[in-house]
Amino acid sequence: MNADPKSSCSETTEGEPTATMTPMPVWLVALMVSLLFLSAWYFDLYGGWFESKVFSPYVSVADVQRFQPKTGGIADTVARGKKLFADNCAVCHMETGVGNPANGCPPLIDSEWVKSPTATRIAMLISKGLSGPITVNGKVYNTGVMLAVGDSLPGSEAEKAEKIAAIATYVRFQFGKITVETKTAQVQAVRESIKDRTANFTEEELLKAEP
Amino acid sequence: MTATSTPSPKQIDSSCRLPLFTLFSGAAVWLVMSCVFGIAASMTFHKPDIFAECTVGTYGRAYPAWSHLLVYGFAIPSGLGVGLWLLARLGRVEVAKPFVISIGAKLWHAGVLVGLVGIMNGQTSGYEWFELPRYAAVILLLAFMLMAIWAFVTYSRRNEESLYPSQWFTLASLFWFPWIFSTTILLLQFFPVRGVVQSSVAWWFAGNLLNVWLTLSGLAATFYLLPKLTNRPLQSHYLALFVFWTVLIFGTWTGIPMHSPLPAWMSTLSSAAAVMMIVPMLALASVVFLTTIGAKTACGGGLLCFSKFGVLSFNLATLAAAIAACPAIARITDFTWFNHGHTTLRLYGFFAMTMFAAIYYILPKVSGVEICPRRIKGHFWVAMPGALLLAVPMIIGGIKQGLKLADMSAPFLDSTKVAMLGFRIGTLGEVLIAIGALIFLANVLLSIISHYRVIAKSAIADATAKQPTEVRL
Amino acid sequence: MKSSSTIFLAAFIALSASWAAFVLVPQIQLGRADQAKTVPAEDKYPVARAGLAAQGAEVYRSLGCVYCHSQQVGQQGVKVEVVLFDAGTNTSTTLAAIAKVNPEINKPETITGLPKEIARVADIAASDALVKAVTAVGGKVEVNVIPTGSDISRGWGKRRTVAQDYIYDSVVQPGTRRAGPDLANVGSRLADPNWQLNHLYAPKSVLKDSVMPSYRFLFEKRKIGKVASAEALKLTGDSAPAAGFEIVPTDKARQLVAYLLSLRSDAPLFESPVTPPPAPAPSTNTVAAK
Repeated sequence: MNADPKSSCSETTEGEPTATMTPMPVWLVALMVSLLFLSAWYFDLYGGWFESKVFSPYVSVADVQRFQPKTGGIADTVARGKKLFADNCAVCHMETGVGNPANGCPPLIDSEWVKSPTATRIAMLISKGLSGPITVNGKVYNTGVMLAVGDSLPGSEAEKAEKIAAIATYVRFQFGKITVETKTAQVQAVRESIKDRTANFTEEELLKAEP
Repeated sequence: MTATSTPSPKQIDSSCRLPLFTLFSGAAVWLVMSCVFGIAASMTFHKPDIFAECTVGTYGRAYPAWSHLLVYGFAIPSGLGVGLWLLARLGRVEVAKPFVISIGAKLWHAGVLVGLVGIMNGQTSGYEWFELPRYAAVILLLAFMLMAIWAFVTYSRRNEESLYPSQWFTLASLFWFPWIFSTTILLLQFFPVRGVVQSSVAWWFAGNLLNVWLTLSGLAATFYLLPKLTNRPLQSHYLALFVFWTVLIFGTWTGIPMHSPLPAWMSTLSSAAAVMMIVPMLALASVVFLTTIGAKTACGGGLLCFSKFGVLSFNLATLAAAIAACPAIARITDFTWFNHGHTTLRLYGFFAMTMFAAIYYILPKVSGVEICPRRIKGHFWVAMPGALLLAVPMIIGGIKQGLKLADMSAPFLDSTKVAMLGFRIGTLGEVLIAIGALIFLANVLLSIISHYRVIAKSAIADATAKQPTEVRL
Repeated sequence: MKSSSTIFLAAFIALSASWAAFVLVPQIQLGRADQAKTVPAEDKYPVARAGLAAQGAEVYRSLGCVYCHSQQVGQQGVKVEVVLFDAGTNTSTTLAAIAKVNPEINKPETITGLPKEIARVADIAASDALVKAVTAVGGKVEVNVIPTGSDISRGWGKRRTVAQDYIYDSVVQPGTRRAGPDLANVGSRLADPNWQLNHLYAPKSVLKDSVMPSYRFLFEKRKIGKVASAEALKLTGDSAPAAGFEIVPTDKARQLVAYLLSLRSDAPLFESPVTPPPAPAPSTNTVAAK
């Protein structure tokens, strides 16, 4: 306001700032090196060495591994059986076990076949399949044929038995509220007794096997 | 443009006029606006239901508007303007294409406005310190590139071959922002990455923006102003460059909080980097101490006060961040207002104060009109306590809140209650900062207006002086 | 120009290092994460949000809830405790078996007042011997892996949250501040949608000391027609509307609540181990429930 814009700056007396060339103080470099060392040490202790599965407070994969919970008992088998059931059985019986009555697939939920005291029948049924009608909870289902799912499972005889046991455990746990695990040895014994059979079972035969 | 002869400082200053007027006046307006939103946000702590019927004033809208306007509206344009002037002055060269740069500046301010409208409409991106919606972000990136390219051309046409530390800082800041900003736009808004990688990118961006960009841009001004204001050489070239290197190398790794759903290695690296920031902090303190000690210039609320307070705030904020990076302390301070407190100190105490000093130094040279020292002093004595009153209660409240949060037997609401006092005092700080921002706006606008008034007057004088001669002919 | 190239080279190297570490490597490590299996049940986790809850995530972002609420649970440590449920028929044998593994707990009162924690061990391997010893004599023990920390003891979660919890979120909002409580598991903590709606409308009506602002603009106040709306909030006291009026949630409010109720991250994962709650008894009503 007071003056002409071209004359108010007193710039002519000043130049641009300069800097002295005093060398770096050594203590600062020393401090930096020691802090770097501490940081590296800290990273080594807590950093988990770039592992994507290590989150604090864990410090390494081995550390995480030490705390993996185990349920043991039936839960593991049920989980394995659930997967096998989904892959092999759910196409007809549905993942929820309601079956597909329109196509003659009986439900598994609360079925007396599932809730039978031992797993013998269910192991036979899974191993060799079924031909002809079957009565579930007082209703007749015209199944036609249930394939020999058990026999066609991949793997050796022992592996087949193990898988059938898992399926049986899951089916009986989930749909029959039976918390007893079906043991592989038990299935193996059943399969040993029917190993030469190639045909499907019928309802009558199964009822005879386990009254 | 013939670069054969070195232009005089006056010529350089007048070449900066157009872009600097645009950048600084816009920045001042946004600063005032951001204070309005800041006050609205802190009202929520006094009367939670105050905005129950009004979406715009709710904390979740006012807070992002505050941070958006403060960082993108005020901090970046003012930092760019100061950097541009430094490049021109230190390179003894006129600014290249000032008109294009001023178009870029206008585009930038338009982008900030678009972003603000987006945030108010609920199109917040949802990432802290990167609140703007993507259409606004793209405008900002283009505008920045437009300005940065011509700033770089200005630098490369320089007549003074040897470099002063401020040029290092400014150049790195011109390079830094487009990289971090474009990465973030691409990976968060156009091709969003999956899951927590988003958080990682957002935190990396925020760390680089707040701890590197603001530092580079702010210290460029500090290293220019200190020797000029004290009339002594900078002590020393090597220390200043040491600050430069360490800020670049360590600052860029900060940002990932200690408590985050990211693998342990990331937060471990980041907190180590926050501790390493002590090194540039001490180096900066030595530069300032060695340069200003024994200087005959009294501070007295003038530019030197702004600049020194800026450095002090930088050191306090960096120290607080380094302390909060230690695992035992982070357990208490994370998730509290502690970290927000020292970030606020960095923004208002360090960056804004340094920019005020630089703008008050530059503007009279560019406009040719002195700013009344009393108004500058008035600004300082309002803004300085304002910054402290906002940040310090939040830091202390954050510690109290953290102690309650860590105490398993204390009910959660206790932790909120103990922090509340801090927020309420903080409102006072916010109000003081707002008054300071108004003084700043008045100073900047008056300076620009009087420049044009003087020109108009002399034009009229010229015209009236010429007319009679014409008549006589 | 030697100095200028040094400046740009320095900036380039420094920034590309942190870019690689915090952008590129996380993308390689976590960017393609897919559903993982829970441990040990092997269920798929997490499940993507759909419908209302997915829309609610947008409301959550748009209202800026993240500035006051975090969505991540912290954890300070982890402990393994062995709980004795049944000492078997011959208690002295059981006690002897336990004592063999852990002499410190060889006291008769160890096996009274069951079930109770009988040992805290360093890891699962250490607990195995104890389990074996007790089950061999007919007793029953359970081993629990329990994450610890102030967040967990507040009931904000069962374990810390990890990257896997967020793979279907976009925008991911872990948050950095807690002016309000953490919401990572609010869906299992406060599962009642009516409580949530009332809390949004008038926070103090359900939590006396709440400092949360009320979000009345997410609700519509209207005159009761012939029949009162079934959706209307049941409010009492100060927050209740004038007689003849009712408060009805808007779409946004319902979306937001659906989103809040969908927030849960307590499935046991490899990287954040925890003993899952006991398996629910198999139910024949699963079909009906679905």
